[in-house]
Amino acid sequence: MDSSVAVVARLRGAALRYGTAADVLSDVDLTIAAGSFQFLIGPSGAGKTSLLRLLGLAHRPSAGSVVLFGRDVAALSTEQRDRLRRRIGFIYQDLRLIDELSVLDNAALPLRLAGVEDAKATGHARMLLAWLGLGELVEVSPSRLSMGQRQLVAAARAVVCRPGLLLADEPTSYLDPDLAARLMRLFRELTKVGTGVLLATHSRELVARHPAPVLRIAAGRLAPPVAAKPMAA
Amino acid sequence: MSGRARGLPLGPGVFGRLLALAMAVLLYLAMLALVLAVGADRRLTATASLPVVVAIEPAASGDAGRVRAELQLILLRLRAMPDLLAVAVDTEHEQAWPEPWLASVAAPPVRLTASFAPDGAGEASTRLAVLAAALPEARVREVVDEVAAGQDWARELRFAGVALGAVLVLAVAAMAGAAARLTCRHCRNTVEVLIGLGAGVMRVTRAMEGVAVRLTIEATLLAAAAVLASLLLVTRLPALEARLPVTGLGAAELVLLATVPLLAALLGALSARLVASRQLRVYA
Repeated sequence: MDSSVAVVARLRGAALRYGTAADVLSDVDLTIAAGSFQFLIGPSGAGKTSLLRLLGLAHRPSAGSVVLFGRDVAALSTEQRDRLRRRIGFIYQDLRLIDELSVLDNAALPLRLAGVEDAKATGHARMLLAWLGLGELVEVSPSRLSMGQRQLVAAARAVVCRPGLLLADEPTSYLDPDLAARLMRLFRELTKVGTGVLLATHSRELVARHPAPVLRIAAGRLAPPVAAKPMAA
Repeated sequence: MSGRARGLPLGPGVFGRLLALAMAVLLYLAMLALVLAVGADRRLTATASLPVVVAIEPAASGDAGRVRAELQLILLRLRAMPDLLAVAVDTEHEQAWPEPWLASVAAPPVRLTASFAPDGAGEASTRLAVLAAALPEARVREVVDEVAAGQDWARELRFAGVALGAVLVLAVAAMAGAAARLTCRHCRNTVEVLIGLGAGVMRVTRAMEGVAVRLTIEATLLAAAAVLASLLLVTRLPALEARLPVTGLGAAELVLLATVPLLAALLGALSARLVASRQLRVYA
C-alpha cells in the first residue's frame, strides 16, 4: 500500500475471544485506507461480524493491536473511545433501529448525539432519506416499514455523519438489485470523500457486480486480499 | 425525542414498570413498618415510668406461723431497698392487704407483692435478678399485667418495625439495580447502538441510572400516597388507633418517615449505577 495514503484502521496480529471461550478471531492483519472499499466474505460463523465489531470498538482485542485513525485503541480512555466511535458508521446485520423513534429521528440520531443543531440535523437526515427513496416515510415508526426500507434507514443512520470508517454487515441482504445498487453508489460516493468502507456479505452476486478488493475470512483467520475481478459481462 | 431518559431513547419497558409497582409495594410496607415502630416507641415512652411489680413467696409453706415469720423477715429486707414504692400482703383468699397490717391480717398470708420504681431502661429482669440475689430462699417472679405485657409487645414491635423497614429499603435498592439491569436488557440493542454512535458510555450509564431512579421516585410517590391513606384509615378505626397511636406524629417522626424513600432512592441510585457500569464495562 502506498505509504502516502492515510490509513483509517490497522490491525496487527489481532485476536478476539468472548469470555473464556476459544478465539473467534486469530492473528488478523488488516489495513483499511481512507477512501478504500473492500468486501469481507466468508461462511457463516467465520468471524465477519466479530471482525466488524472489533473495528467498531464494541470489543477490545484479546491479543494484538487495533489502531484507528492513527491511535492505538488499547491506550485510549473511555471518553477518547467514545469520540472515536463518532467517526465510525456501523450498519448492523439485524439493523437495530429504535422503534420508539420515527424514521427521521433514527437517521438524525448520530448528528444529535454529536451536538449538531436540531434543525440542521433533521434537515440533513431528511435529505439523505429522500435520496434513498424514503422521503414520504420520515415520520413513521421503523416498525411499519418493510425489511428493505428498514435496511435503508439503518444505512442512512450509519452514513449521516459522513464517517471516516464505515462498517457494513450484510447491508443489502433485504434489498432488491436496484436498491442494492443505489446503496452501493452511496458507499462509493462516501469513499470519494475519504471514508474507508468494509462491507461484509454473503452475496456473490453483489461482489461480482461491484469490483473491489475481497478479504476472505475462515475460522477467524483472514486470508491475504484478493484483487478485484472485472465485472462479468 | 420525547419521554426519554436524559435525551436518550432508553426506557424501562413493561417489566421495568412491573418492577416499579413491586418497589412501591415494598416501600409502602417499609414505611408502614416504620410507622408501627414509631407508634410502639411512643407507647414505650408513655409507659416507661410504670413501676416494676414482683410477687415474692416464702420458701416455707403449710405452716402459717412459719410463713408469716418468713414474710416478716423478707419485709425487713425489702424496706432496706431505696426504690421500694409499696408492698401488699396476699392471703389464701386472694385478698391483698397493705403491708403495715401484716401482723393483724387474720387469714394466713401466702406471698408479698412489691412494687419498685423503674430503672432507667424500665427492665424488670434487672430488678428480678437483684431480688433473687437478696432473697435467695424466696421465690421471686414478675407480675405481668396487661400494661407490662403491652410494653413487651411494643418493644418487639419497635424492633421488628425498624428491622423490617431496613430490610425492605435494602430490597428496594436491590430492585432499583434490577431495574437498571432490565433496562439494559430491554434496550440491549439500543444501548449498543447509542454507544456505537458515540453517545458516550458514561452518558448511557447515567441514562440507565436515571431510568432506575425515576422508577424509584415513582414507586416512592405511590407508596407515600398509600401510607397516608392507610394512616387516615387507622385514625378512623378506634380499635386500631388504640393499639397503634399514629395520630399527631411529630416533626421528628415525619422526618424519619421521609428518610425511608430518600434512603431507598439514594441506595437505588448507587445500586443502579453499579449494575449499569458493570453491564457497560465491556464498552469502556
